[in-house]
Amino acid sequence: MRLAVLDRGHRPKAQVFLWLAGTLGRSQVDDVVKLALYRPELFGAPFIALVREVMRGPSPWTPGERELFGAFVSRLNGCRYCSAVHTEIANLRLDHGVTATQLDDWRNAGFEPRITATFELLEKVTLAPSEVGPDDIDRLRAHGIEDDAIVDALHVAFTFNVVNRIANALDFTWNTDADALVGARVLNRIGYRLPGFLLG
Amino acid sequence: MRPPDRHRRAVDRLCRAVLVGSDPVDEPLAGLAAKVREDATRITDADVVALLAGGLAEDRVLEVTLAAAVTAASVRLAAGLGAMHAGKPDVGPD
Repeated sequence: MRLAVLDRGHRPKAQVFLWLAGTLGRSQVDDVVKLALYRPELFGAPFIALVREVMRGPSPWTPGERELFGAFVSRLNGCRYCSAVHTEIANLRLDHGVTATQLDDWRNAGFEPRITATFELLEKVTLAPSEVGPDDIDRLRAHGIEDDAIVDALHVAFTFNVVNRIANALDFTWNTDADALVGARVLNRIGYRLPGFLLG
Repeated sequence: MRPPDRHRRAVDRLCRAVLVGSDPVDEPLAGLAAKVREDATRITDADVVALLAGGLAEDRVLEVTLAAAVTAASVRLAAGLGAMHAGKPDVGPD
């Protein structure tokens, strides 16, 4: 963490919450949670609302599939912090497990065709946005992917294109791999809900 | 409200919160913002230490980082949504 305010600059009620979460959970508190609770009106409140909506709201994609897209975009952006967590949540949510290696070799990893087709669009949107054209969208439509589903996948990519950049810029880091897995299980259990009084 | 409309509203709220009042920045913050947008993995401890040593507040570094991240993500979302509309026959009023 490169900014001390995100470790120690919180309002008293958020400080108490972070201390309790670290002590009772006997694990590292997620740096994204620390970010969200610091000056929540600036970022945390609208960002958590977006994450709740995009990752767990109504969608043609299951939460597990959306986690897969989030983990995939995180790999593209070189964000180890987010990819560790969201690959694990995808694992917890999907019938077939997924590994970082499969995400990096996604064309040959045996994903369903509609997932592979969506990865292809999200890769181009993330790495070469100026080259995205109608043909890229038509390839998804040809797989029977409805426009609402395409819009939803683009919003998952938006969410991770935001948070991956912040995590990389500010050097969000898990102390150990085990901390990342605990963090993933916590997020999966709470479904990205944070107490409203901490975000208000 | 259909999910795509709810998504749009949630994105708009985030953009308003982060981008309102975020004027274009001069060096050295412009360099940080460019790295955040283009490849945030290139940012080093030394980059941030230098900004803070130069007298910038941590809050300012945070605000610029958030604004650059949201801007870069918005460009990508717009590229995808724009391609969806571009591929559709024009059914709107002439």
